[in-house]
Amino acid sequence: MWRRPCPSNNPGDRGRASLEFLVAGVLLFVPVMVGSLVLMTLQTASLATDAAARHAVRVFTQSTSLEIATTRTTQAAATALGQFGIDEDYSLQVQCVPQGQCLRPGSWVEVTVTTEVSLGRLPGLPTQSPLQVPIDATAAAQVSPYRGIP
Amino acid sequence: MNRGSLLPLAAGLLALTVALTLAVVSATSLTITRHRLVALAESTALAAADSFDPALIRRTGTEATAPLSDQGVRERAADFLSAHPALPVEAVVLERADTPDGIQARVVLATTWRAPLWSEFVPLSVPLRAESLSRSVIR
Repeated sequence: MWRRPCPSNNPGDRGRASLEFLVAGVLLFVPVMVGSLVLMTLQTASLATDAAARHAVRVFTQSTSLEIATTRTTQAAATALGQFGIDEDYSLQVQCVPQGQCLRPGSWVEVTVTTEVSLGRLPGLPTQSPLQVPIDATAAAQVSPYRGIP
Repeated sequence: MNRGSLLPLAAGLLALTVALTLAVVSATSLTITRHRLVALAESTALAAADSFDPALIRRTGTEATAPLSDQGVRERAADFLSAHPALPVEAVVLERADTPDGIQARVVLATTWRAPLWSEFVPLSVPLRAESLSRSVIR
């Protein structure tokens, strides 16, 4: 296709437009596209962990026993992350301030949700990459001083 | 004459794509900051709604109301923000904390969002405000 001489007699029309487009496209646009997809994954993880931590800490302070609180917090975080398509590779950390006095009226709770995002992995392609970036989000809430007993 | 090259066109399109990507990144950052500010305003109002004096609870029929005062709400909201162990938003300002009707606590928080990545080149910033109303229900 490229070897056929140009039918035009105009000398300015000579060139390899399609070849140039292919080279420029591969060299310039493929990295940009890969970069955008990776950024998209990072942003999704960022939004997901933020929402998960926010909802989880709220659920934690509303419960009245530590056992129920832990179960519900795990569920809330899993639900929030699941809506962003993150079903695995995440961890949930609950920290009470002051320490060891969880759910005491007036105490604080901090929930940190961390997820690992692999940089080389493109959405839709089953590629593996050793490069992983942790994305985390922290949310804190205070237990009401008039917290009721169910 | 139809002289020319495709490369400048490709470069222009590339610049446009990169600019669009940066805009999307900034928009996500703005959304996250807004979510966090709203959540902080909600939890502050929730804490401020607990600032009633238990001795002043009135029972009217089947309902009990806990009266709030402007000063109590303001103090409780300021205490809450200063005692917060991990403020999710930087440089948050308690713009307003009062009670519009003596039962509900109203909290208005404000902050300024700054664009990531290019803040050194383009000082793009957006002022954000979040208002939240909360009340205690006694049963």
